[in-house]
Amino acid sequence: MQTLWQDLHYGVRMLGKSPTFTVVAVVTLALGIGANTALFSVVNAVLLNSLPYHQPNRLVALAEGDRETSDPSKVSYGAAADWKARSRALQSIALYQEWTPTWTEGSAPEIVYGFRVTQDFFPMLGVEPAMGRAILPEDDRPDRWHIVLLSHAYWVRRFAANPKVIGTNIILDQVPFQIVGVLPESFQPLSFSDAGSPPEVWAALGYDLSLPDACRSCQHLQAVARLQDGASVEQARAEMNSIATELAREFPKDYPPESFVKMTPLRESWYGRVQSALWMLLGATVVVLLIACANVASLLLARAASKQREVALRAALGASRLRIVRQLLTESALVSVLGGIGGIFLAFWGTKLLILWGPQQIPRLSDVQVNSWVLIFTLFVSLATGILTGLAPALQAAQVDQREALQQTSRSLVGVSRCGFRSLLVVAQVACAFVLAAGSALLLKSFVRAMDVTPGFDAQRLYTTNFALIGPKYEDPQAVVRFEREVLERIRLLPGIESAGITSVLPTGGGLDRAGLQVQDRLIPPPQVPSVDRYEVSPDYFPAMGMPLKRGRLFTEADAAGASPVAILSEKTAREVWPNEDAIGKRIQLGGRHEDRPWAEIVGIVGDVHQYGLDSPTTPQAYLLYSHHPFLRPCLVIRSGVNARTLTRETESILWSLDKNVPVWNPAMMEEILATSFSRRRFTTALFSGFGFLALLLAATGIYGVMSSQVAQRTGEIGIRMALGAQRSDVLRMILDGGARLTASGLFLGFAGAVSLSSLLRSQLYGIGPNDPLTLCEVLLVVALVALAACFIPTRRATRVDPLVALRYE
Amino acid sequence: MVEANGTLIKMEGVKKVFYTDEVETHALEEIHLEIKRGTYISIAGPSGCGKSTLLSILGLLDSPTDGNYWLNGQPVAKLTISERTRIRNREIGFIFQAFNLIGDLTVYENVELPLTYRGTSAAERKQKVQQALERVGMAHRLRHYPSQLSGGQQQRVAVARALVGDPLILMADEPTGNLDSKNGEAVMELLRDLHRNGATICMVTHDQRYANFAERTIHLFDGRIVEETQEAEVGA
Repeated sequence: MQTLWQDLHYGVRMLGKSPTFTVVAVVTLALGIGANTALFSVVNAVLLNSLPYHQPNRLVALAEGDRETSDPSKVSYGAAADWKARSRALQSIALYQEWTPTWTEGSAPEIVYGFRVTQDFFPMLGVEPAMGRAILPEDDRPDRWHIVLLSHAYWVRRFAANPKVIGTNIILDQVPFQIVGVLPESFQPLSFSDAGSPPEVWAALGYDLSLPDACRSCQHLQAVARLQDGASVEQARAEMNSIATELAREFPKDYPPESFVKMTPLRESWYGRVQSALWMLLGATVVVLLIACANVASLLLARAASKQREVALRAALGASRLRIVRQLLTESALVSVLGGIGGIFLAFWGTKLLILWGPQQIPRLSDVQVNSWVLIFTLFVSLATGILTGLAPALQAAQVDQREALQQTSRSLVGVSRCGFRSLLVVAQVACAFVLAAGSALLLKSFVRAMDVTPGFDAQRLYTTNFALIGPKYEDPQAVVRFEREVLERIRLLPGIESAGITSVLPTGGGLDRAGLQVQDRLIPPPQVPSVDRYEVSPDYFPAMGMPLKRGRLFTEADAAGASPVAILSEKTAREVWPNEDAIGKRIQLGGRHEDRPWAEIVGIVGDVHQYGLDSPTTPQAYLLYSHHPFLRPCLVIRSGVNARTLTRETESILWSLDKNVPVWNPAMMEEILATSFSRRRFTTALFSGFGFLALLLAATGIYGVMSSQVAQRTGEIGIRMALGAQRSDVLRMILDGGARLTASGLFLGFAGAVSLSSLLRSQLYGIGPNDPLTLCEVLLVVALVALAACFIPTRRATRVDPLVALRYE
Repeated sequence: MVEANGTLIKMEGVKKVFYTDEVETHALEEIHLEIKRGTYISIAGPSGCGKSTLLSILGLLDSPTDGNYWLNGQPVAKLTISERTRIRNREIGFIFQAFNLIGDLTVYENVELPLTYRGTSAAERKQKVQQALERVGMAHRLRHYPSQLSGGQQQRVAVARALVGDPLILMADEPTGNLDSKNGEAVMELLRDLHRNGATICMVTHDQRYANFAERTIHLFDGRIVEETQEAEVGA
């Protein structure tokens, strides 16, 4: 213990005597450890903490799919009833759907974000209300579902945490709902709104099989299920797919022939693509830490070389090799502990930034904190770093030849001992930096390419907002159309407005209820019916969005006023359904084929729109007239030079002058919506690029350090070479050659590493392959230039060596 | 090209002043010196008298602060660094007190070094290196590294390196200073043999025994030539 104290005391003194070394080493490690700790705190909170439900590993998400469905996410009530009746591997299946009722008891109508859930939803998750009661089976019926549970936050915000609200009514969509309970504060919802808001009210789903919306093909609900004790996900998946095949055979009119059930563990379904992105970022920080370790190890090796005589003396005086190694390791451990402390400070700051900048798609990001687990992780990383950086220098120093070191008073040979191990470290640093730089470049290019995608409309000067028509007076479809027409007419009269329209769904706004496209003169068998995104729009929607007309004509007010249905298709739809014909003039129906209903004539073809995000491919789309298919929750689109705040005020004024109970929400400029849709990609790209830059910087520092040491060590040799006739250019070439060899070896290894690790990056890329040769070559050039730039100062110093050193004799 | 009268080196009024902060150190003052081709000259004097400074100027490792210096009839006092380097490589061979062999290079590569900087072809280099090593009796150690040789052998290799480019003059800076007396004697014998075969040698030494190997000795004191002696018989 006393010797350990001596080592510590000596280590502190030695570090104090070399403040530059200490600061550089501690800052380098602090950057590496800080980046790791910050990212680990995110991974720990988001991915490693178990889902906050009872036995979360036994929960799975279910969705119905068939050959035509690219990414199934919904189920129908009817199908879920069939599954419940037949499945033995699933203990229970709960259904839920988003629900955004309007609260009209305040000064302005307000949309409340919520869910409607089946009565078994909360018991399945193991969640009990903090106050009141849960949803009972008798609540979950079409005539009894008007009860709600409040989220804890909504109860505090709206009702000032008044416990007496239980049993009272809240008016939602102009209907009284009895408040039956309040959920616990700790409850975490399964999902959030597109704007990142947590749900505030929970009502019963209130379905039974008699409802039209409960049909087997009405896929608009989401499902979560709990596995039976002893059943594995694989067994349950196999059983459910066998059930799906049986159902398709028994009910061919309701189920497509190749029906299947997509079953995903809830954890995977919840985290989605965020999971791979976070692991990838944590991997990047580990690489940064390794580079930082290599830098500090390199510095310690240089110090160990300068301590050879001291170590030899200690050994001559009786110190064992173990004792010498321990003493030197103590010094590196002190550096790493100081680096760890610095890293924790950086991590506190970094996690705050991550929470602030993190995209809303990362669940539980607000829970991220530097907690005890994170501190244990940091302590472990710091100690591992200390051993990693200090062991090689300590072992090297302890192997010194005592006799040679103590007798070394003259310089008869020069240029020996060229930092072999340090050179290896530089090669490793360059390789690691190349891997991260290549990843950064690919992500940056993906980001730029995704940003460069034309959305299919002109997002500039385009304002959007949502509103909803609630109450019995809008049960008459013509009342809805009249209201919407009146709103549009009034908006067009505002100063500065170029055009205004409405749509049932805003592009890039995410999922739609896709519909099958039926062609009048062609009977398409059900499995082959093409599926399209369906929009109901006003005639001015296309000019307001800036969508190009490709052929035919746009909708007119006469179409809207007339009784004959008309349709407009996107180019992709027209090309896929009529590859060798003109679609104009053809007649279609969306949904099921109903010969007794009118067919809509195709009057125009417009450009394709990226409905599911700019980095997702375009899908077939079809547009119908809002007046023929009235809807209660339209989205207004306004093209103008007027600012968003004024437009919001004017729009609200117009809507509330017509009906004071109309809620207005999500006002935004379209460019902001597009920018938000990129937040996850931007976050990943920015962080990864930051780590790539840090890695490159640290690698450059490492190269600089090793080259400086080499030049210092080789000063005598350089002087002799110059005395013998070497020109400055010869010296320049000699030193650069050394740096270039190290860099080239690192680049070679890095290239191989980048290619072999590229598959990990594939899911994060858009419009570019993970082994894009041009990008890899560009990165190769950049890393090579950075490395050579790092060699430049030591090389220049080498060319200034005075050949007189050859005559000096010490 | 040697001057008509055989003068290889001529110095007139050479001065060397070192400036450090506000201190002026006059290392050499009014040096007048003439060395004829084939001469074996030693520069002697106590420590700090300016021997090595004079050798560094003679060897074009440094330039004088004032005065003129002709090497082989060519004024070299005010040459650029690059020109000095080129002439040093072609016309001067150095033997250092500390041998100054490069530890990572073999004996062959060490000796080859001056020819490499001269741009000599590989075949010619091989031939000349072989000859130089044979002259110093080290041809059998071509592939050895300096660390595998004794001090005396290392200095013989250093002499071979100085000879390999057929320089006009060999500059030896305390060539025996790092050797025991037996090896020191052997190196001095080697230099005497080279001189007998026509080499011009300029040697710095503080050891009178070795100074006597030269046919002419100049004595320096406080940066000035204070005495010059001619030996009746070289090596006496």
